[in-house]
Amino acid sequence: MGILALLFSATAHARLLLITSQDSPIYQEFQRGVLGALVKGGVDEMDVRSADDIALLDLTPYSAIIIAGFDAAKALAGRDLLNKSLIYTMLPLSSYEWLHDNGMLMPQHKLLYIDQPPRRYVQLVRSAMPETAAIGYLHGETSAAYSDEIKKIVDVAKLHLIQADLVTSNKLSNLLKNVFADSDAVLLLPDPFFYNRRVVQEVLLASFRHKRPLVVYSESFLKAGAMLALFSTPEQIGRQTAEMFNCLGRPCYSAIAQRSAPKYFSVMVNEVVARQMGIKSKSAEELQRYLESVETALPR
Amino acid sequence: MRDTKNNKKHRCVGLVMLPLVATALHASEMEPPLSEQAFWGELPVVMSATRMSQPVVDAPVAVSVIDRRMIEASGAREIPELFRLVPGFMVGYHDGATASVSYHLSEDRYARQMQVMIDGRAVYVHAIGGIAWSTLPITIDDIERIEVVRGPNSASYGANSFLGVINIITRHVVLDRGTAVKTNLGDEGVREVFLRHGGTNGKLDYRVTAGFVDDDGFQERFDYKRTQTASVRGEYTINNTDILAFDAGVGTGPRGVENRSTLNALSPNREKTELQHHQQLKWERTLGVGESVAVQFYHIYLRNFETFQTLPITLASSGGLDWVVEPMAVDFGMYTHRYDLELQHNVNIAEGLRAAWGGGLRDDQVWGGANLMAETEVHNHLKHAFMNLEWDVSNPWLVNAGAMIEDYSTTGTNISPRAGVNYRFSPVQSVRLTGSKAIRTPSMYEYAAKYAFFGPSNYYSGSTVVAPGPAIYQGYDVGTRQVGVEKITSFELGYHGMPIRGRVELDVKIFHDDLDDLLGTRGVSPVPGDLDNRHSVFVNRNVYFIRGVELESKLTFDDNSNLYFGYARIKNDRILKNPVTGNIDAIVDSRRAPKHSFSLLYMKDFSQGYSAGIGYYFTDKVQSWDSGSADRVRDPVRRLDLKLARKFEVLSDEVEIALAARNVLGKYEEMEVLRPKTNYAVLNEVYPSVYVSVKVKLD
Repeated sequence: MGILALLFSATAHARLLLITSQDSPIYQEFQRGVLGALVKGGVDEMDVRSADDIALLDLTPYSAIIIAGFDAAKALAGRDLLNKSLIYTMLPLSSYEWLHDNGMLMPQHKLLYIDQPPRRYVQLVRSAMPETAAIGYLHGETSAAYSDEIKKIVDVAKLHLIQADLVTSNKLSNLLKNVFADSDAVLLLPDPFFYNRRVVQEVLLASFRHKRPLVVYSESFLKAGAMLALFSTPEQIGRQTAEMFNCLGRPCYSAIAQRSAPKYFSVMVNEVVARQMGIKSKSAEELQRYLESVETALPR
Repeated sequence: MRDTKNNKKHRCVGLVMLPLVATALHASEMEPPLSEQAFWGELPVVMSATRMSQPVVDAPVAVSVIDRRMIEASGAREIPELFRLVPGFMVGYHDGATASVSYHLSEDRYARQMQVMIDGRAVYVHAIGGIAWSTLPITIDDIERIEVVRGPNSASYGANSFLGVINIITRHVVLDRGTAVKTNLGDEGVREVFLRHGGTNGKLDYRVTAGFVDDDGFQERFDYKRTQTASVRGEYTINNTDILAFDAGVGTGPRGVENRSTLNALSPNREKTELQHHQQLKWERTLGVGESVAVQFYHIYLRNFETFQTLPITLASSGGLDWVVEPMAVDFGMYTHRYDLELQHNVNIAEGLRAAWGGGLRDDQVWGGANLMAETEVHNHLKHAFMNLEWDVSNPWLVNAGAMIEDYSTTGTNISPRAGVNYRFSPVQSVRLTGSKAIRTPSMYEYAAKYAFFGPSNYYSGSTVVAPGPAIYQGYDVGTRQVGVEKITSFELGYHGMPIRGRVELDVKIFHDDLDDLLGTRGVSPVPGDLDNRHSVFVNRNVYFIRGVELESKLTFDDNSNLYFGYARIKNDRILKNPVTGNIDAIVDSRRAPKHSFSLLYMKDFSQGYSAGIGYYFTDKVQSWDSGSADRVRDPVRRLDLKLARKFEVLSDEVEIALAARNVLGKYEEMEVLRPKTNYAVLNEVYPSVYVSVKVKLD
């Protein structure tokens, strides 16, 4: 990737480096989100590089670096980044923690991870299917990290939670059958185990057989046969990343936290699946508006 | 010597694969558990039509899916039986060990116009044609689903994807963890045991299976089979984007071969042994949303050991002298190697436009014994490249287009194109119109056969040789190495959708196929010593027009039971052309496919773990195999299969007991029955039978 230089007004004196894991459509969309939300005058110049293009790059001139994706973060590990404002973004929380545990992060930085807060999924289920009494949660080793949090949220909502660890099960089909039979909706959060498409097919098959909707974390999962999806697009992550950058070193409406969850998100409904399962769901727009209103009401 | 040479080749294959596996196993642990790609990655739906995942409403051709539930409810014991369900398909048996599956046209037991893939590995036998179903190292329980492309698909999978493609997709290794034992016991000497163990070790998931299959074949025939199979499949997750999958298996065992010759003494009852094994390695990297690159290599070896001695034949007696053909040592042995390397890249070219493209190299090596191919080895080298495009023009229009270019060392270069348009008038309903061309390359038997018996004769007075007779040459089929490819031009107008959401899924297909240059045999002048003047050569001579309509439906009822229904109406005309002018002399109503056929499968789950399946199959009159006369037809067949099963737990282990009653409506004649009955006192008949199955899954 070559260098993309953008000249902004000279009122500020920041030189920003944006490093992405790859020069692929996902990161191009992310980059568009960043560019669209950067405050004019906030930077003097911005360079964009991909992870495989920074080994020999002199980082001295940059006062701030946005590091987007795991490969980008890994490529910067060990470099001298003191006295620079750093934002790690486009990272699953588990990847971030892995980088942290392996000493690949600088002490001073901000993080925008891409995992949605579990409460959003529970709110989504309740809004889409108000009669829900029991939620199933299928998890693998990585997504098991959310189990306790989901349990608390579900308890507060006075719902019943049926959890199942797919990885340790020797009888995946039976396990799925039991979870889907006893749940009104089943939730999946990102996990390497689900990245295996045949496992996904088995889960989707169980959903169809029992006519119980799946609530998932990606658009492609939704297209494959899940009923509800809640996720942030790369553009939305880019927009929020830029907003975080805009607040670095200057007063903002809201202070930025050390770790931030996605603020912007999208809801999608697979209406074909909903109809097949005999579920009358609200539209994606209605659901999204509702969730956004809940988010606004939350204490900041 | 020959096998020693082959074994060396196999070791070489193993040596090539080992470092790759080792490299992958050593691949970096320096990866987090989850990549950001997981949030925006693609999940495929179906792959078989275009090599791209797409909903069935977007597929350019009719695709039938036989899923796990249908497999279990059907009561099928062998994989070929499942295809009775699919509209337009014909399933027949030459003997208890030789099944044949064909679509729209069934000329003989080899069913050479069908392609069969197992997890992307083409198992079509290039030596003779057809599929060696009985030694495939796969059990029916290994299968997750079967995607059946009903129509030509050379644009995606190349030559031999001529009438249709069967794509068998095995269960993922992670789905079968633990140990399972299954046994089938029943009529016709059915004694089967299957063992399976699946596990995980770090990033490696694997499954090992073994099978022991014994049955006595048809009730009154010498056609038993004893088969042992073993396989290991695995998948190593290198990192969040890369997967290395491997598969190796072997199947072997003896079969009873019954006399099927017009001269009984030439072909006594005997035993042959079949062996096949394979090694497959595939690396796949996910590049982005809907984008991936994969490299696959596989090797398949198939060996048929069949040597025997004919009996003495007295050709004439006169004046106290007998002219006797001495017993001849016959070698019908055969082996074939297939080495195949292929690259495939799935890529999003622009908004709404995506492609699957790639190419590969293949070497088919075929050797036939002295009486089959005169101990010659023939190579057929293939270079091929393909591209399939899906263009989502704008809702509701979708265009699929693609082509395969193949260069065979035996038959030259051909292009197989396909283009289709789908009009999606709702998210779950579409109408498609598709045209395609496809080819079939001759099997190496059709290309270079020298099927003959030869040996000395003597004149006897009593038991004493009084003078040597002439050398005998009983010739049958000969391949002249001049044959070309078979061609099909196909048009399909179809509908797929859910007219009643959640209740009825329906696919309707109206088709018109022109089949040209199909290979057949033509009698030629007998050579000196020929015993009964059956000498013939393979030529591209047959032409068929096949037209019809097919309907497939899946119904879901309130109690969650399902009914699968398939129907086909086929008009199969054989075209007789003037060999000089090429003009059509006559159109003959052929019975190479049944005019009507339908299948029903009802599936229901009851409480307490009970489940039931009822399968009913009707096949109209059809011309039997190898019969030269169109009036030798098999009467309509009605077949009813029933299955009742119950799953329960014993000490936390899952147990399933099933009872399957097959063909309960009474006996019927198989496809290979109607050759001159004067020669065959014993018919090839299917009798009612029952088998019991017990399956235990251990923790």
